[in-house]
Amino acid sequence: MRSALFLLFTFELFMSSRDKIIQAIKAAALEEVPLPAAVGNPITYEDPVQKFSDVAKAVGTSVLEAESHQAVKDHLMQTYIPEVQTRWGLEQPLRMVSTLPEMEGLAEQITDVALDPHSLENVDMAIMSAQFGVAENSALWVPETMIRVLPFICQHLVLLVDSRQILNNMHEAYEKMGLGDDSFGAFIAGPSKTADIEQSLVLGAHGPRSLAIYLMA
Amino acid sequence: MHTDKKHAALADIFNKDEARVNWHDQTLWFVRAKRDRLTHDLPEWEVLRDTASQIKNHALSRLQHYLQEFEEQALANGVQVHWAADAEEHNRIVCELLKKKGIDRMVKSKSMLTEECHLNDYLAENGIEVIDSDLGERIVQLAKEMPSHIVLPCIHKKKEEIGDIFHEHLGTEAGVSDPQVLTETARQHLRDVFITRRAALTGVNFAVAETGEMVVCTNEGNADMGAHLAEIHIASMGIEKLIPKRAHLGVFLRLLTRSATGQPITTYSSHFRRPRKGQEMHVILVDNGRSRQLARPDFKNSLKCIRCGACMNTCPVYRRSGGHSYHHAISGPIGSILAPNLDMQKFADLPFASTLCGSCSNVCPVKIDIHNQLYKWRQELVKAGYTDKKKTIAMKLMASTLASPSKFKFAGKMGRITLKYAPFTVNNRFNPWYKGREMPEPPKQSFREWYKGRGDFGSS
Repeated sequence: MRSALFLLFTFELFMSSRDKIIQAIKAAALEEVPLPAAVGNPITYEDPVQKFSDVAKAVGTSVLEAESHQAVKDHLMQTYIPEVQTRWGLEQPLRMVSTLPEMEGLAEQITDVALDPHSLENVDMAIMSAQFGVAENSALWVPETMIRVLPFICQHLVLLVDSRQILNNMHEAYEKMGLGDDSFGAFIAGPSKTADIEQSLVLGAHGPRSLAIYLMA
Repeated sequence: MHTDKKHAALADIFNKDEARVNWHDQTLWFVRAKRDRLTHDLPEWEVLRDTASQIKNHALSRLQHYLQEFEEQALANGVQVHWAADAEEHNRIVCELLKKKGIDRMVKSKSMLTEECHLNDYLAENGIEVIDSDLGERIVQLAKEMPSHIVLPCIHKKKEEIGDIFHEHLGTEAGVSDPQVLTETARQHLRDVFITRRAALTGVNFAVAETGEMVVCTNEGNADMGAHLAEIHIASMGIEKLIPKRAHLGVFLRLLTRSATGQPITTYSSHFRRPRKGQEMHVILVDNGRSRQLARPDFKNSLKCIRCGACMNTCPVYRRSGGHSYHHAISGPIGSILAPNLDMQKFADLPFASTLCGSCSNVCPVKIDIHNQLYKWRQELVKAGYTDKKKTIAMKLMASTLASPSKFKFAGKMGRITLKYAPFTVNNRFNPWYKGREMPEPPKQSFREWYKGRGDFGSS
């Protein structure tokens, strides 16, 4: 009896925290309860693109439409970039980068996954594409593309998304993605923001100060 | 916050500034109202709450299974998995990971778990500097305080005070209190921190067992700035954060921010699955009393919490007493159920800091029966002898009085006589009932006396 207790004691002593935690959970001996059914009939919208664009604008995102990559490029050069420069008082030429080959000539191409992410510290504007958007909350799924930090570290972010890829709600989003295989990915819904000081909304907390979305026809 | 004061005494301190209390009350109610507007937009809101509650119930009932599945997947993803039985072990693991790489400065995004574990103090004692990067957390860190709210860490502060803190620590001009200017100052200051720190620690909102993914939600983008620039990313999570399937994220991400701040979703919902090339990613699975709470049938439900803070925003006591009056990292109604599990004696006051109105349970996105659990904790705490003995005696005395017609009659008479002839004996600060209340006008006669004499008043 004594030696059994001693053995038990030494066992406890050498048991890893992992085993201790698992043991403690097992000891709680909860009766298994089943998983619920998926949420039936979640909200859908007559015009998801319209809803997406309304929600996006409400959180401070600029929503634009374009027929082609060339049209995006033209609009950026002629209209959007000058607007950003005026709005934020930027006189110097902007450091523009992109992961989209179509933006060559306008923006520096990011093609090297081994690039030191710190070298993007002074990027003014990044142009990337999102895989799809969600109408209920204007979130865009942006999987890791070349450099993980790019959509966060730039001062201004531009995302292109196919307007046929606007889903109704988050359930549809995860259904579309399935288990997925992105090493990293984020839903991005608007410019970075904070209301930590007296609940006053300020855009441009740590990430981009602005977000523009081009809905591609 | 190291204090021996209890909730009522700490609330007294907060209540000294009436204008501030009113502002605090109204601001949190405004957030609660935003939450209502957003939830009413979704016809399936109640179905979502039900589903989330059942998913969490299921996950807790098979927690050991999902922890093992998560571990297996995370390891396969190249993430290193650590297990910490308690706060001390969690802190030691973080410290050792940093020391091994010769790192003495770390940037941290919001993690209530690390507040619960007092990680910053531990690391400071070991020569490691931690900078909190969430704006609200950075402000309370500079003020040497604890967050007073899990989602809005410095909701107890006015912008002028924040201006003073920034003037002292970040060199803004004296008297500047414009939130736009203060936020910009913090942005510049913290950008420099993000760029120079080799280690980043983040919390975890949801961990998916089937993929080994960890989801971190922020509005500011601070978790991403920290983690994607650092060579080592440490994610700390309580073991109750696990959800079985990736598709369940759809349910929880729809609920979390609508409940928390009345937004349809946070700006960033980041899914971390594998470390980036050349980076180390670690996850620490922390128990710290959670398995003990799981074994308490009355309180295991509290582990369903997704830390949205809706119960705080709606609580009439929280709104008027402030988060610091709860003297625990997680304040408000949910904190008052979680804290006694960690230390019954130290937090015996918290389940009593409630009117049991039930508003918390009504807004909880995972349907925790918060007010019932507060009531059950009161009973546990009295049984275990952790409550004020004077109150117990008073309650027993009252019970015996109410149970005996003759004692009740006598007590009523004494009360009326006292209020009529010697009101000063009860209208003074030694009577706790008098605090914040006027004693009533004594009635001329009791109901019993009136009933006996009713014939005199013309009943036919």
